[in-house]
Amino acid sequence: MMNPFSALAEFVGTNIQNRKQSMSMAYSALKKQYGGALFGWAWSVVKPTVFIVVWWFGISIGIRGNKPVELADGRLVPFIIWMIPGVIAWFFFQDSLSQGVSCVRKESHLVNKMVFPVATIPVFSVMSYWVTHMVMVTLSLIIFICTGNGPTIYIVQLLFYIPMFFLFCCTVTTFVSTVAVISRDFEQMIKAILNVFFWLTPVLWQINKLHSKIGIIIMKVNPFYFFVQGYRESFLGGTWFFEHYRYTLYVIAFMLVFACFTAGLQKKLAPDFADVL
Amino acid sequence: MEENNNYSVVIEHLTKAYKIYASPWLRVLHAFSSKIPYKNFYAIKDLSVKIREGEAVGIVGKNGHGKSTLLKMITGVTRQTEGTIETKGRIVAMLELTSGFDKELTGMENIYIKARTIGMSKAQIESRIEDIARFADIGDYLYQPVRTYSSGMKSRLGFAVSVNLDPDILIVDEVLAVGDVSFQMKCLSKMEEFRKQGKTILFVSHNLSTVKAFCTSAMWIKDGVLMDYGDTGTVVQEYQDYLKADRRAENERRRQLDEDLILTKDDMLHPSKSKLCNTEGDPQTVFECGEDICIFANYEVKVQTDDLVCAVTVYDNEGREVFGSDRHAERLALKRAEGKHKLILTLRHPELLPGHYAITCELWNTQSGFVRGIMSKKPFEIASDHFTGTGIVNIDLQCESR
Repeated sequence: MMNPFSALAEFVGTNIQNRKQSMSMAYSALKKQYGGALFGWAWSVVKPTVFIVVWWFGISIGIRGNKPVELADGRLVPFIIWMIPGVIAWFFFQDSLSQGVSCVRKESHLVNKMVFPVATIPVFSVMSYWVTHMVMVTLSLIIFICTGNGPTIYIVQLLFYIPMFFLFCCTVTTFVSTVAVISRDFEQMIKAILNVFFWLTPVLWQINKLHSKIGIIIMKVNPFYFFVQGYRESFLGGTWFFEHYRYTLYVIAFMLVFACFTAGLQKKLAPDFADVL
Repeated sequence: MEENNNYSVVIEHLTKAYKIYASPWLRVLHAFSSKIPYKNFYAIKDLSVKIREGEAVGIVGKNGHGKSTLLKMITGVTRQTEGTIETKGRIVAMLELTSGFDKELTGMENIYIKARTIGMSKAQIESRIEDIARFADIGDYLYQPVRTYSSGMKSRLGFAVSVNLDPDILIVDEVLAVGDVSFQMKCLSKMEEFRKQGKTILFVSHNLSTVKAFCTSAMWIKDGVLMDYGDTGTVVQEYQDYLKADRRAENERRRQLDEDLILTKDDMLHPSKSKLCNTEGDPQTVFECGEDICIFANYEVKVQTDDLVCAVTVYDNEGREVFGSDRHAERLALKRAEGKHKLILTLRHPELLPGHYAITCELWNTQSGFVRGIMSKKPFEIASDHFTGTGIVNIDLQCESR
């Protein structure tokens, strides 16, 4: 393997160079996704909303009997309000994985029919999911305001979490889509384990339900939880990201290592893409 | 280096090996360790060529011999394993009918994507849109998703985009085959115009007469090796000679195969010693009108079959079928147990008028359609010393007048 930092620098460089092209590709991807449907854009919001309502009904009313959630600082909030920030983070992550895993394969005409910067394909795919994500974030804010649940000053943390989360998803999608080009099995595997991933991450349940310290540490090793927690802290307030600076630094370090690894792998495998697609 | 000034494409020792792995996972692992085993498939082997500016190069060769791989490498879509390619100027390639169109997007959106990937700005693209639309001439379909296009429309749009993006090197891979003749003419005259402007065209076609008419030079690629590059007439002639020889060899091989097949037929059923004769068994080819005609033959069944039927066909002088027997007739069924058998087939009182005829006799297995010939169009003659009528068949007439 070549110097991982130079590979990452090259990857980032390519993406910065082609940012305008990526933006319009993301726009095309969005149009492609919803273009043929009658309600078009509305679907991107309807789909997650339906899930939120169903989960709220099933868990908040069905399982919890409408019991509010107690936050770390003792405040009580309705379950649905507690759930929304984590769930919208999940939706973005889910799109990046389950759809992003096949992004290079789906755009194969860009790879083997023209000269296209392959490194930008996962990035513009994530950009297109990110647009939906931002719509969801905005809607959540409206819900929070309308129900009188905030937002507090802690909401400015989103300016830290959203870009971080975007970069995290770009890295993950680049990794999975690169491997998926070479191996179809991997694509199926990702789709199969996504559900497992969802329930093993405290998205619909509170991490303090785990009474063992080791359990909590295991949960926190998963960097995706950092963003679920971060979104909650931003929307519900109570904690700044630098208050748990060790966890924040861990995630940044994790992302850096993972990004270097992914960029190295991508650089190594990308020349073969046109031959295998 | 200075002497390369007039060349738009300079290729030196170009080799492309596709790595073939036993499993796709091994390709991933290969990124981490060079010890992973793989096999090389050579699509292009040590190819060197220099193409002058303003040249229209026809690339000929059979399918799967590396033409498209070569074009993909010149375009930059795939990377070579070894060797160098130097190109001068902007390359626009139509590597396939759809030339990389996204099926879900409209023609218009695809134009923008394609133009952007070769580095044109939005303003530059907008100034060309009208030319592209006029050249493609597909009307409102330009605003419909490409998946709704016919193959002709795709090639129209693809070509319109490619030639209007101002290429210095235009690469066209077998895309003119689908368009109608008038569109082909339009494309060829556009390419001719290009060539006169000193632009380079690489053109793959299986239509050798187009190559001969349009290209200023030609290259022939066989098994990834450059067989020849030079004057169009010479190279195309060489290639045609090769094609002929190849076809002959192919026919030869097929005939060999057929002969092998007959041998296996022979292992199942072996006819021998047939003769056309009278009822006494004396060989004879001239018969009286109405005289019984017999075929005596021996056959040996080596593998027992389900059914075996004797079939007979009589032809007239001009090869028309006069009579063909029923292939399912019970009374023509033969002994089919393993061993040697004798066959006597009699055409009783054939109502044939005098003249020349031919007879074919076969052994049939009706279920498998398996046929062995006993006698193939053996000529015989019906002779008569008195006149009975004209035509082929004698019809018994009775006349009464009151």
